[in-house]
Amino acid sequence: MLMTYTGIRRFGEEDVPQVAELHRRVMRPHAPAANGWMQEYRNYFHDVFLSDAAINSGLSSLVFQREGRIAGFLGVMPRRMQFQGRPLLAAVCSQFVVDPAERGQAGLQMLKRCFAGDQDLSLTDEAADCTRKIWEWCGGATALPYSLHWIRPLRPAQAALTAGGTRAWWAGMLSPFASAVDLIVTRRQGRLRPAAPPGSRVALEEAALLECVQRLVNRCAFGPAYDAQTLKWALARARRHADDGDVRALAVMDESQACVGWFIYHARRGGSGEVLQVGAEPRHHRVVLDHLLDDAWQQGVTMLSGRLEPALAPELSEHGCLLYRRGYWTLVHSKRPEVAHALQRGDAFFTRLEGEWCLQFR
Amino acid sequence: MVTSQVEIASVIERFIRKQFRIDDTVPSLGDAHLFESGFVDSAGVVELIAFLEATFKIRLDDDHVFSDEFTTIHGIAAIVEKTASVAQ
Repeated sequence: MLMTYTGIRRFGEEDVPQVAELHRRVMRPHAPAANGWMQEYRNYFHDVFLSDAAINSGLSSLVFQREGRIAGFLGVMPRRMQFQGRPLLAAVCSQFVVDPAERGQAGLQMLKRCFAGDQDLSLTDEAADCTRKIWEWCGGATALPYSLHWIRPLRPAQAALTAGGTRAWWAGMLSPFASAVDLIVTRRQGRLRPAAPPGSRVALEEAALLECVQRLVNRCAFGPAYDAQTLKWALARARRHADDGDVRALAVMDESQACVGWFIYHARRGGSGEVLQVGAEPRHHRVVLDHLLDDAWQQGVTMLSGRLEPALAPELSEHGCLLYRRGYWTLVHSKRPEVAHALQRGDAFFTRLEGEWCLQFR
Repeated sequence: MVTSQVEIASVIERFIRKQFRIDDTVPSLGDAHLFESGFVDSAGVVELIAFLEATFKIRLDDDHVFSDEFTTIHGIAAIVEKTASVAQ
C-alpha cells in the first residue's frame, strides 16, 4: 500500500531561512546567531542542496512542515554511481534534523518518503546511533566494512595532546615536552617513523584522478561514476575544510615513472590528517600507503586518520594502523538488494570523497 | 494472547517509563502526546515498535505507526488490541 506522508514536501528556495535556523538551533546551539554567520549558513543550504546538480537529477531534499512551520529537514545530494559497470543514481543523505518538539513519527516518515524516491540507492556515512536505528527500521542496512575508521600515530606524544581537537591551555604548555618525546621515539625510521619509500610523488591533476578512479572502480562491484565537473566540485568542497589543513592529492609513481596509485588527504602541521581517499591496485597497496605515511610525516602531521577502505585492511594493519569505531555508521538502502549487499560485503570503492565529508558545512 | 486495552496500556506505560527514564513524579502518561511531550524521539519509536511487536506478537505497518492514534499510550493500546484480535 502506498503511504502518503503528510506534511513532507520537496525542499525549495523559500525554505532556506527556516531550515538554516532549525538546523542551527538543534545541531549547533552554541553557534553565533550573528547575521554574518547565519547568512553563510543559509548560503550553504542553498549552494549544496539546491545546486543545479541536485535540481537536475530529479531528486530533492525534503522538509517536514507543520502549520506553516518547517520542523524537519533531510538533505539529499544526488551522486552518479555505477554497479557492475551500469550507471545508477545514489542519494547521499545528510544533515537530517527534526525539531525536538516533533520528534517521533516525523523522522521515520521523512526517511520512508526519501527511500521511496527515484534513486537506486540511498547512502549516508556519518550517521549517529539513533539515525542507524531509524534507517534499519525503514528498511535500510548497516555497511559494517565502511563503518570502521583507522588511526596511525606519527608523532604519538603530540598526537595524544591534540587528540579529539583538544586545545586546552595545558596542551600548549606541554607541547614542547611532547615534541621532545617525539624526537626521541621517532629518531630512527621504524615502527613510528615511516621509511622513505621507493619511487616518487607528483601532484595529481583532476583529469588524471578521474582516469585513476575510473580504472579502479571497474574492479569493484560498486563505485562512483565521476565526470570532470563532479570531481572538481567534490575536491572544492573538501578544500573548504580549512581547519583540517590543505588538501594534498598526490599520485605515486614507481621507479619507471608509472602511476601505481594515489591518495588524497588533509595535511595539518602539528595536527591530525584526515584521509579522504586511497586508491591502488592490490599489488601496490603497500607502496602507496608507504608514500601516504611518508608524505604526512614530511608535512608535520602528528596522526593520520581515515575511514576503512576494506581492500586496504591487511596493509593498514601491517603499517601499524589501529582500527576502531569512530561513532559514525555507513548506512545503505536500495530497492535492489544486490546493490546494498555490495557495500555490506565491502565490494565497493566508496571513500569519504563520495560521502558526507564533502557535504559538511565549512 | 489478547488482553484488555487497559492491561495493554499498563504494559506499554511500564516499558516507556523504564526505557525512556520517566520517573514516577510524572503523572499517568495515558493520554499524553508521547512525541510532542518529548518522552519518545524517533529512535525511541523504533524501540517502542520492536517492543510492541515482540510482546504482543503483532506486526505493525506504516498505517498504524503514522496514525494520529499512535501518539498516546491509550491510542497505541487500542491499535495493539485491534491488531492482535485480527491476527488471532
